[in-house]
Amino acid sequence: MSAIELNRLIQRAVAYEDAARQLASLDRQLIEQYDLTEPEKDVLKAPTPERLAQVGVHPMLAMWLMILRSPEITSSMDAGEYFRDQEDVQGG
Amino acid sequence: MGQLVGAFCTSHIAFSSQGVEDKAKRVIDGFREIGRRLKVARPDVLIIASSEHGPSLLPLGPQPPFTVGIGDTIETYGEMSIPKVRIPGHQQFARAFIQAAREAGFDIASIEDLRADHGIALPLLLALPEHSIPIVPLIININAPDIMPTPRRCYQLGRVLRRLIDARPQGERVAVMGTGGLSHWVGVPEMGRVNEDFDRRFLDLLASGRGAEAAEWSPEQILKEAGNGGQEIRTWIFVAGIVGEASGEVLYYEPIPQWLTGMGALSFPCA
Repeated sequence: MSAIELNRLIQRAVAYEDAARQLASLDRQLIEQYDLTEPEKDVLKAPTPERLAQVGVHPMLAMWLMILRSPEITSSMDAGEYFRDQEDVQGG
Repeated sequence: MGQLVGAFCTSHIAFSSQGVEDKAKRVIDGFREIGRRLKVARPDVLIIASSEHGPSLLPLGPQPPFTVGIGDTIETYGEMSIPKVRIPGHQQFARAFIQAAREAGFDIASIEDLRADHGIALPLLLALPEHSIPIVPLIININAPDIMPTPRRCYQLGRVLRRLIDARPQGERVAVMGTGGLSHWVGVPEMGRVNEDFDRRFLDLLASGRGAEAAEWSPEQILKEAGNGGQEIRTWIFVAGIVGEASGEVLYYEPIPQWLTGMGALSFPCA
Protein backbone atom coordinates (compact mmCIF):
# COMPACT_ATOMS: atom_id res chain seq x y z
CA MET A 1 0.00 0.00 0.00
CA SER A 2 1.39 3.38 -0.97
CA ALA A 3 1.69 5.93 1.77
CA ILE A 4 1.38 8.86 -0.58
CA GLU A 5 -0.49 11.06 1.89
CA LEU A 6 2.05 10.37 4.62
CA ASN A 7 4.92 10.98 2.21
CA ARG A 8 3.33 14.28 1.15
CA LEU A 9 2.98 15.36 4.75
CA ILE A 10 6.63 14.66 5.56
CA GLN A 11 7.81 16.25 2.33
CA ARG A 12 5.92 19.44 3.23
CA ALA A 13 7.90 19.54 6.45
CA VAL A 14 11.15 19.27 4.49
CA ALA A 15 10.10 22.15 2.24
CA TYR A 16 8.65 24.55 4.82
CA GLU A 17 10.01 25.41 8.25
CA ASP A 18 6.57 26.11 9.68
CA ALA A 19 5.36 22.67 8.67
CA ALA A 20 8.51 21.13 10.12
CA ARG A 21 7.79 22.72 13.48
CA GLN A 22 4.17 21.58 13.31
CA LEU A 23 5.08 18.02 12.42
CA ALA A 24 7.73 17.90 15.14
CA SER A 25 5.02 18.60 17.69
CA LEU A 26 2.37 16.48 15.91
CA ASP A 27 0.17 19.53 15.42
CA ARG A 28 -3.34 18.25 14.68
CA GLN A 29 -4.14 21.19 12.38
CA LEU A 30 -1.39 20.04 10.04
CA ILE A 31 -1.93 16.31 10.31
CA GLU A 32 -5.68 16.51 9.73
CA GLN A 33 -5.07 18.04 6.32
CA TYR A 34 -3.85 14.61 5.18
CA ASP A 35 -5.90 11.46 4.73
CA LEU A 36 -3.83 9.15 6.92
CA THR A 37 -4.69 5.66 8.05
CA GLU A 38 -4.50 4.78 11.73
CA PRO A 39 -1.21 2.82 11.29
CA GLU A 40 0.25 5.86 9.53
CA LYS A 41 -0.79 8.14 12.38
CA ASP A 42 0.81 5.71 14.82
CA VAL A 43 4.07 5.77 12.85
CA LEU A 44 4.21 9.54 13.22
CA LYS A 45 4.16 9.16 16.98
CA ALA A 46 7.03 6.68 17.17
CA PRO A 47 8.87 6.43 13.85
CA THR A 48 11.46 3.70 13.41
CA PRO A 49 13.08 2.56 10.15
CA GLU A 50 11.21 -0.73 10.37
CA ARG A 51 7.78 0.83 10.89
CA LEU A 52 8.35 3.51 8.27
CA ALA A 53 9.42 0.93 5.70
CA GLN A 54 6.40 -1.18 6.57
CA VAL A 55 3.93 1.59 5.72
CA GLY A 56 5.83 2.60 2.56
CA VAL A 57 7.57 5.86 3.48
CA HIS A 58 10.33 6.99 1.10
CA PRO A 59 13.66 6.27 2.85
CA MET A 60 14.82 9.87 2.60
CA LEU A 61 11.56 11.15 4.04
CA ALA A 62 11.79 8.47 6.72
CA MET A 63 15.12 9.95 7.72
CA TRP A 64 13.70 13.47 7.90
CA LEU A 65 10.75 12.32 10.01
CA MET A 66 13.00 10.51 12.47
CA ILE A 67 15.18 13.62 12.78
CA LEU A 68 12.12 15.81 13.37
CA ARG A 69 10.49 13.51 15.87
CA SER A 70 13.45 12.11 17.80
CA PRO A 71 15.59 14.44 19.94
CA GLU A 72 18.12 11.62 20.34
CA ILE A 73 18.62 11.27 16.60
CA THR A 74 18.72 15.04 16.17
CA SER A 75 21.49 15.43 18.74
CA SER A 76 23.49 12.46 17.48
CA MET A 77 23.32 13.73 13.88
CA ASP A 78 24.60 17.18 14.73
CA ALA A 79 27.77 18.66 13.23
CA GLY A 80 27.71 21.92 15.19
CA GLU A 81 30.79 21.12 17.25
CA TYR A 82 32.95 21.22 14.12
CA PHE A 83 31.81 24.70 13.12
CA ARG A 84 32.17 26.55 16.41
CA ASP A 85 35.32 28.29 15.20
CA GLN A 86 33.58 29.54 12.06
CA GLU A 87 31.27 32.13 13.58
CA ASP A 88 33.60 34.92 12.54
CA VAL A 89 33.82 33.78 8.91
CA GLN A 90 30.14 33.22 8.15
CA GLY A 91 29.11 35.46 5.32
CA GLY A 92 25.80 36.64 3.88
CA MET B 1 43.60 25.39 -22.18
CA GLY B 2 42.24 25.20 -18.64
CA GLN B 3 43.90 23.11 -15.99
CA LEU B 4 42.61 20.49 -13.55
CA VAL B 5 44.41 21.51 -10.37
CA GLY B 6 42.70 19.34 -7.78
CA ALA B 7 40.41 16.30 -7.58
CA PHE B 8 38.96 14.93 -4.37
CA CYS B 9 36.36 12.45 -3.14
CA THR B 10 34.95 12.47 0.36
CA SER B 11 32.10 11.30 2.51
CA HIS B 12 29.80 14.15 3.40
CA ILE B 13 28.62 13.81 6.98
CA ALA B 14 30.11 14.43 10.40
CA PHE B 15 27.98 13.65 13.42
CA SER B 16 28.55 14.00 17.16
CA SER B 17 32.02 12.90 18.24
CA GLN B 18 30.69 11.51 21.50
CA GLY B 19 32.00 7.97 21.89
CA VAL B 20 33.96 8.06 18.64
CA GLU B 21 36.38 10.90 19.40
CA ASP B 22 39.46 9.40 17.69
CA LYS B 23 37.58 8.41 14.56
CA ALA B 24 35.88 11.79 14.37
CA LYS B 25 39.24 13.53 14.60
CA ARG B 26 40.58 11.52 11.66
CA VAL B 27 37.51 12.43 9.63
CA ILE B 28 37.75 16.13 10.43
CA ASP B 29 41.49 16.05 9.74
CA GLY B 30 40.60 14.56 6.35
CA PHE B 31 38.30 17.46 5.51
CA ARG B 32 40.94 19.96 6.69
CA GLU B 33 43.58 18.24 4.54
CA ILE B 34 41.38 18.57 1.49
CA GLY B 35 41.02 22.26 2.33
CA ARG B 36 44.77 22.67 2.69
CA ARG B 37 45.34 21.04 -0.70
CA LEU B 38 42.62 23.15 -2.30
CA LYS B 39 44.27 26.32 -1.03
CA VAL B 40 47.59 25.24 -2.52
CA ALA B 41 45.83 24.41 -5.81
CA ARG B 42 44.26 27.92 -6.02
CA PRO B 43 41.29 26.95 -8.24
CA ASP B 44 39.19 29.61 -9.96
CA VAL B 45 36.17 27.33 -9.73
CA LEU B 46 35.29 24.20 -7.77
CA ILE B 47 32.82 21.67 -9.19
CA ILE B 48 31.11 19.78 -6.34
CA ALA B 49 29.12 16.66 -7.15
CA SER B 50 26.77 15.34 -4.50
CA SER B 51 23.48 13.61 -4.01
CA GLU B 52 20.60 15.74 -2.70
CA HIS B 53 18.56 14.96 0.39
CA GLY B 54 15.32 16.83 -0.18
CA PRO B 55 15.54 20.58 0.43
CA SER B 56 15.81 21.51 -3.27
CA LEU B 57 14.82 18.38 -5.18
CA LEU B 58 11.95 17.02 -3.15
CA PRO B 59 12.05 13.23 -2.74
CA LEU B 60 8.65 12.76 -4.42
CA GLY B 61 9.92 14.62 -7.47
CA PRO B 62 10.85 16.03 -9.83
CA GLN B 63 14.06 14.08 -9.65
CA PRO B 64 16.25 14.61 -12.74
CA PRO B 65 19.21 12.24 -13.17
CA PHE B 66 21.64 15.18 -13.21
CA THR B 67 21.05 18.77 -12.07
CA VAL B 68 23.51 21.66 -12.20
CA GLY B 69 23.22 24.68 -9.91
CA ILE B 70 23.44 27.83 -11.96
CA GLY B 71 22.86 30.47 -9.29
CA ASP B 72 25.29 33.32 -8.76
CA THR B 73 25.08 32.42 -5.09
CA ILE B 74 24.15 29.16 -3.40
CA GLU B 75 22.60 29.28 0.05
CA THR B 76 23.23 26.48 2.50
CA TYR B 77 20.15 24.80 3.99
CA GLY B 78 21.58 24.68 7.52
CA GLU B 79 20.48 21.27 8.79
CA MET B 80 22.69 19.40 11.29
CA SER B 81 23.80 22.82 12.70
CA ILE B 82 25.79 23.51 9.54
CA PRO B 83 26.24 27.29 9.19
CA LYS B 84 23.73 29.10 6.99
CA VAL B 85 25.86 31.01 4.53
CA ARG B 86 25.89 32.11 0.91
CA ILE B 87 28.53 30.60 -1.31
CA PRO B 88 29.49 32.25 -4.60
CA GLY B 89 28.45 30.34 -7.72
CA HIS B 90 30.11 30.33 -11.13
CA GLN B 91 27.25 30.81 -13.59
CA GLN B 92 29.39 31.00 -16.69
CA PHE B 93 31.15 27.69 -16.01
CA ALA B 94 27.87 26.06 -14.98
CA ARG B 95 26.20 27.02 -18.26
CA ALA B 96 29.25 25.92 -20.25
CA PHE B 97 29.10 22.53 -18.49
CA ILE B 98 25.41 22.09 -19.32
CA GLN B 99 26.09 23.03 -22.94
CA ALA B 100 29.07 20.67 -23.24
CA ALA B 101 27.04 17.87 -21.70
CA ARG B 102 24.16 18.49 -24.11
CA GLU B 103 26.51 18.27 -27.07
CA ALA B 104 27.75 14.95 -25.65
CA GLY B 105 24.22 13.54 -25.37
CA PHE B 106 23.39 14.39 -21.75
CA ASP B 107 20.19 16.33 -20.99
CA ILE B 108 20.96 18.04 -17.72
CA ALA B 109 18.49 19.97 -15.59
CA SER B 110 19.42 23.29 -14.02
CA ILE B 111 18.40 24.96 -10.78
CA GLU B 112 19.04 28.60 -9.97
CA ASP B 113 17.88 28.57 -6.35
CA LEU B 114 19.64 25.53 -4.93
CA ARG B 115 19.53 25.18 -1.15
CA ALA B 116 22.74 23.30 -0.53
CA ASP B 117 22.21 20.64 2.12
CA HIS B 118 24.95 18.78 3.97
CA GLY B 119 26.03 16.94 0.82
CA ILE B 120 27.66 20.11 -0.47
CA ALA B 121 27.74 22.39 2.55
CA LEU B 122 29.40 20.15 5.10
CA PRO B 123 32.52 19.10 3.16
CA LEU B 124 32.91 22.57 1.65
CA LEU B 125 32.64 24.48 4.92
CA LEU B 126 34.84 22.05 6.83
CA ALA B 127 37.49 22.18 4.11
CA LEU B 128 37.18 25.88 3.30
CA PRO B 129 35.50 27.80 6.14
CA GLU B 130 35.88 31.06 4.23
CA HIS B 131 34.04 29.48 1.23
CA SER B 132 35.45 32.07 -1.14
CA ILE B 133 36.00 29.87 -4.20
CA PRO B 134 33.06 30.01 -6.66
CA ILE B 135 31.40 26.62 -6.96
CA VAL B 136 29.32 24.75 -9.51
CA PRO B 137 27.10 22.18 -7.77
CA LEU B 138 26.20 19.00 -9.65
CA ILE B 139 23.44 16.90 -8.11
CA ILE B 140 23.49 13.22 -9.06
CA ASN B 141 20.16 11.57 -8.36
CA ILE B 142 20.01 8.61 -6.01
CA ASN B 143 16.50 9.14 -4.65
CA ALA B 144 14.43 7.79 -7.53
CA PRO B 145 15.58 4.26 -8.42
CA ASP B 146 13.84 4.26 -11.80
CA ILE B 147 15.81 7.18 -13.21
CA MET B 148 19.00 7.06 -11.15
CA PRO B 149 21.89 7.35 -13.63
CA THR B 150 24.08 4.29 -13.97
CA PRO B 151 27.62 4.48 -12.59
CA ARG B 152 28.87 4.17 -16.18
CA ARG B 153 26.85 7.24 -17.15
CA CYS B 154 28.36 9.17 -14.23
CA TYR B 155 31.86 8.16 -15.32
CA GLN B 156 31.09 9.27 -18.88
CA LEU B 157 29.83 12.64 -17.63
CA GLY B 158 33.12 12.99 -15.80
CA ARG B 159 34.91 12.49 -19.13
CA VAL B 160 32.74 15.23 -20.64
CA LEU B 161 33.71 17.62 -17.85
CA ARG B 162 37.38 16.78 -18.30
CA ARG B 163 37.20 17.65 -22.00
CA LEU B 164 35.49 20.91 -21.09
CA ILE B 165 38.20 21.75 -18.55
CA ASP B 166 40.86 21.05 -21.17
CA ALA B 167 39.02 23.34 -23.61
CA ARG B 168 38.52 26.22 -21.18
CA PRO B 169 40.38 29.53 -21.53
CA GLN B 170 44.11 29.50 -21.04
CA GLY B 171 45.09 29.62 -17.39
CA GLU B 172 41.71 28.79 -15.85
CA ARG B 173 42.23 26.58 -12.81
CA VAL B 174 39.52 24.02 -12.03
CA ALA B 175 39.14 21.68 -9.05
CA VAL B 176 36.54 18.95 -8.55
CA MET B 177 35.11 17.19 -5.52
CA GLY B 178 32.72 14.26 -5.35
CA THR B 179 30.92 13.80 -2.03
CA GLY B 180 28.85 11.05 -0.45
CA GLY B 181 29.09 7.42 0.57
CA LEU B 182 30.65 5.18 1.47
CA SER B 183 28.44 2.22 2.37
CA HIS B 184 25.37 3.16 4.39
CA TRP B 185 21.71 2.39 4.66
CA VAL B 186 19.42 5.44 5.04
CA GLY B 187 15.93 5.36 6.54
CA VAL B 188 15.56 1.60 6.12
CA PRO B 189 15.67 -1.28 8.62
CA GLU B 190 19.36 -1.98 7.88
CA MET B 191 20.27 1.55 9.03
CA GLY B 192 23.56 1.50 10.95
CA ARG B 193 25.13 -1.26 8.90
CA VAL B 194 28.53 -0.52 7.30
CA ASN B 195 30.19 -2.82 4.76
CA GLU B 196 33.87 -2.28 5.42
CA ASP B 197 34.95 -4.86 2.86
CA PHE B 198 33.03 -3.09 0.10
CA ASP B 199 34.35 0.32 1.13
CA ARG B 200 37.96 -0.82 1.08
CA ARG B 201 37.57 -2.53 -2.31
CA PHE B 202 36.05 0.64 -3.76
CA LEU B 203 38.77 2.86 -2.29
CA ASP B 204 41.48 0.51 -3.61
CA LEU B 205 39.98 0.55 -7.11
CA LEU B 206 39.87 4.34 -7.30
CA ALA B 207 43.24 4.83 -5.64
CA SER B 208 44.84 2.51 -8.18
CA GLY B 209 43.40 4.38 -11.15
CA ARG B 210 40.79 1.71 -11.91
CA GLY B 211 37.66 3.76 -11.36
CA ALA B 212 36.43 2.61 -14.77
CA GLU B 213 35.94 -0.86 -13.26
CA ALA B 214 33.68 0.52 -10.51
CA ALA B 215 31.76 2.33 -13.25
CA GLU B 216 30.67 -1.08 -14.54
CA TRP B 217 28.96 -1.99 -11.28
CA SER B 218 25.19 -2.18 -11.51
CA PRO B 219 22.87 -0.14 -9.27
CA GLU B 220 21.54 -3.43 -7.90
CA GLN B 221 25.04 -4.58 -6.95
CA ILE B 222 25.76 -1.30 -5.17
CA LEU B 223 22.41 -1.43 -3.37
CA LYS B 224 23.08 -4.96 -2.17
CA GLU B 225 26.64 -4.33 -1.00
CA ALA B 226 26.65 -0.66 -0.01
CA GLY B 227 23.01 0.16 0.70
CA ASN B 228 20.71 2.84 -0.65
CA GLY B 229 23.05 5.51 0.71
CA GLY B 230 25.98 3.77 -0.94
CA GLN B 231 24.47 4.75 -4.30
CA GLU B 232 26.17 8.10 -3.60
CA ILE B 233 29.50 6.61 -4.72
CA ARG B 234 28.38 7.72 -8.18
CA THR B 235 29.84 11.12 -7.26
CA TRP B 236 33.23 9.49 -6.70
CA ILE B 237 32.90 7.58 -9.98
CA PHE B 238 32.12 10.90 -11.68
CA VAL B 239 35.44 12.23 -10.33
CA ALA B 240 37.15 9.01 -11.49
CA GLY B 241 35.87 9.82 -14.97
CA ILE B 242 37.50 13.25 -14.74
CA VAL B 243 40.92 11.98 -13.64
CA GLY B 244 40.90 8.90 -15.91
CA GLU B 245 43.57 6.38 -14.95
CA ALA B 246 45.38 8.64 -12.48
CA SER B 247 46.22 7.02 -9.16
CA GLY B 248 44.95 8.58 -5.97
CA GLU B 249 45.87 8.78 -2.32
CA VAL B 250 43.53 7.49 0.37
CA LEU B 251 43.52 10.24 3.00
CA TYR B 252 41.73 8.05 5.55
CA TYR B 253 39.10 5.37 5.97
CA GLU B 254 36.98 4.90 9.11
CA PRO B 255 33.94 2.64 9.38
CA ILE B 256 31.72 4.41 11.92
CA PRO B 257 28.45 2.55 12.59
CA GLN B 258 27.57 5.23 15.17
CA TRP B 259 27.51 7.67 12.24
CA LEU B 260 25.64 5.07 10.15
CA THR B 261 28.37 5.27 7.47
CA GLY B 262 31.72 4.16 6.19
CA MET B 263 33.73 7.38 6.05
CA GLY B 264 36.62 8.01 3.68
CA ALA B 265 38.42 10.47 1.46
CA LEU B 266 40.65 10.36 -1.60
CA SER B 267 42.90 12.91 -3.23
CA PHE B 268 44.19 12.70 -6.79
CA PRO B 269 47.44 14.48 -7.59
CA CYS B 270 46.97 17.00 -10.38
CA ALA B 271 49.38 19.14 -12.39
